[in-house]
Amino acid sequence: MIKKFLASLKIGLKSAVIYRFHFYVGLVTAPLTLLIYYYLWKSIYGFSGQTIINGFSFELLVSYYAINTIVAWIVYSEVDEWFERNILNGELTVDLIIPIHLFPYYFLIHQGFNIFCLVVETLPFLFIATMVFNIQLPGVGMILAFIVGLLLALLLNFMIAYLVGLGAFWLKRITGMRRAKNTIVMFLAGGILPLSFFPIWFQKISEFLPFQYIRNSIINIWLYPQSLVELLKIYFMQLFWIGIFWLIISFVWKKASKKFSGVGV
Amino acid sequence: MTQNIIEVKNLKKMYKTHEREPGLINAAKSIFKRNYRIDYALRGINLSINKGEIVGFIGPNGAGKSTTIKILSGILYPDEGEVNVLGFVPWKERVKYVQNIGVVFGQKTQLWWDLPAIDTFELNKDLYKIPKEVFKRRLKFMMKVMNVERVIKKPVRDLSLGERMKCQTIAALLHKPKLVFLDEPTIGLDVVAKERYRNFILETNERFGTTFLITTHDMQDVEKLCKRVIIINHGKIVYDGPLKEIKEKYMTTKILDVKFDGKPVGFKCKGCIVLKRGRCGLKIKVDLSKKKIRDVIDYLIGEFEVLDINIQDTPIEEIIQKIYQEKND
Ligand SMILES: Nc1ncnc2c1ncn2[C@@H]1O[C@H](COP(=O)(O)OP(=O)(O)OP(=O)(O)O)[C@@H](O)[C@H]1O
Ligand SMILES: [Mg+2]
Repeated sequence: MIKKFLASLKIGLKSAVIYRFHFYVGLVTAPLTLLIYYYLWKSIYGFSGQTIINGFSFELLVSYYAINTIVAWIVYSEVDEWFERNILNGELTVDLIIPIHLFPYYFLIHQGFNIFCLVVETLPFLFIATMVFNIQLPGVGMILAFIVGLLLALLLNFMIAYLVGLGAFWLKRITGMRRAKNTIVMFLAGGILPLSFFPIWFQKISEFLPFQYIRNSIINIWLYPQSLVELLKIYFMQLFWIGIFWLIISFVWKKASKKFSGVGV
Repeated sequence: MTQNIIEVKNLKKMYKTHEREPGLINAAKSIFKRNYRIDYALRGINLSINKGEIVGFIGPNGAGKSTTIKILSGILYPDEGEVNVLGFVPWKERVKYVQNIGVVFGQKTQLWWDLPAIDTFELNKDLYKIPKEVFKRRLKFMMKVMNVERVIKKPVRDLSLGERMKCQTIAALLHKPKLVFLDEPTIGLDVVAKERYRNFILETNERFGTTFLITTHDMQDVEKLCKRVIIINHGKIVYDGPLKEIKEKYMTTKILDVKFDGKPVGFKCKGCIVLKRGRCGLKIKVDLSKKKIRDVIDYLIGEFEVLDINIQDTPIEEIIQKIYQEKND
């Protein structure tokens, strides 16, 4: 079992090395995006004359966006796109003749990509961002707590994408659906604005949805020291939603694999 | 002792696709009303295959060969029928089941496209839990027989079709499966490579008792490899028996494609029918029960200025037609 998993991770890593150019591009665009947010908010803060907006000082908000980039990269998943592509071109057919379940296979290949991305993209970015924008590192304990939350967020985000990807068994083309999902998730997860910028009722609902637990809550672990209870609450919600998605994915996969017609071969 | 390793009863499968008429207006219409089209790909198939057999599975395009193989290898769910392969119901315990089989689709590679083939081999080593020493030994042996030592470190996308096919077969056989499905494995291979490929299959079959089910459009493959042939047409099996019988009973014609220097005037030969008359060529069907192919060629060369002769087997469609005819008689 472990060997199968490690092999899948390894092949993902190997093909990530082939596509490395793809990652270097991100290393240029991400700091630029951060810079745009920086100047946008600088002018907003200057214009409003306030030093604290919705509980955020300017420096803290910039940190939020920087950590947001890092979290987004680490939990990144495009498995929905893989499904759309592989069903259309018949690649999925050959992925079903090898002795490993599709979910762990795709998950680990994807993590192979993500590990490569972590080394050549995320960590250098973190380094640059801490230097340029003076971002504070949390204590060792909070870093550990951050990593645990991050790993769970990664699984949760993968599952959301996986579920959307399964839609391709019925719809064939899901490009529109994928884009809608990406935008909605980014918005609800706090990827565009921290959730504390939204009305209280919205924040209350959000606590029960899965989305903030793949970004906003994780970013908060970095930005603010959390009590043990607060941490456990975040982890519990993550595990809860992982469980829910697991049930839905198992159910939908059963239907999808029956529906599959093995195109392209 | 003979042992059934594949047992199929009354297997049925249909595909539902929605049809779209060409044109913009029709595209708009299809948003509201979808026309479904149902293809009955398999219409009640029965077959059983013994351990150690090499069975040729042939039939015209769209007959249902690939569909059958996809069901037998656990990729597709059938609509009806019973299947038992090596004690498994293929689609029910896919992961456990595929550990025991090997599959090659000539149309789609299971090799990682942007990586060298050796990377897929190593992945398969771990996925199929092949011990390191065994892996090394088998890989070396197979690479030698298939003559691909030089290409396994090149990215798969840069390989020629034939090289890719050979590497793909290696990937599918590394774990020494008891049963192998080959779906058009020889497309794209040159004559020499085909010969090597066939020998490789024969050798694997003899040494390890591996069972093969092979689909192909090349009757030479069947003649070299298979003692038994199953013919499928429109989702039904129309023949299941020894190749010898097919050859003696139904492959009783050959097609000659002859090119001449000038116009062949006055061609006449007992047992021959001219199918097509070109300016400098003839397409002739020879009835082997009435005339030996040798005699026809002797006659042609003796009487005309022959530039080139191409001999083809009886087309599969004609074999099927004859089988139907015989059934109706
Ligand atoms: N994924 C699919 N969706 C819809 N129809 C399909 C699909 N796959 C096959 N069919 C139809 O089912 C029938 C059998 O196809 P199949 O691929 O099994 O034929 P085949 O015997 O392998 O033919 P070939 O020699 O051309 O490979 C054909 O009529 C084909 O159009
Ligand atoms: Mg086919």
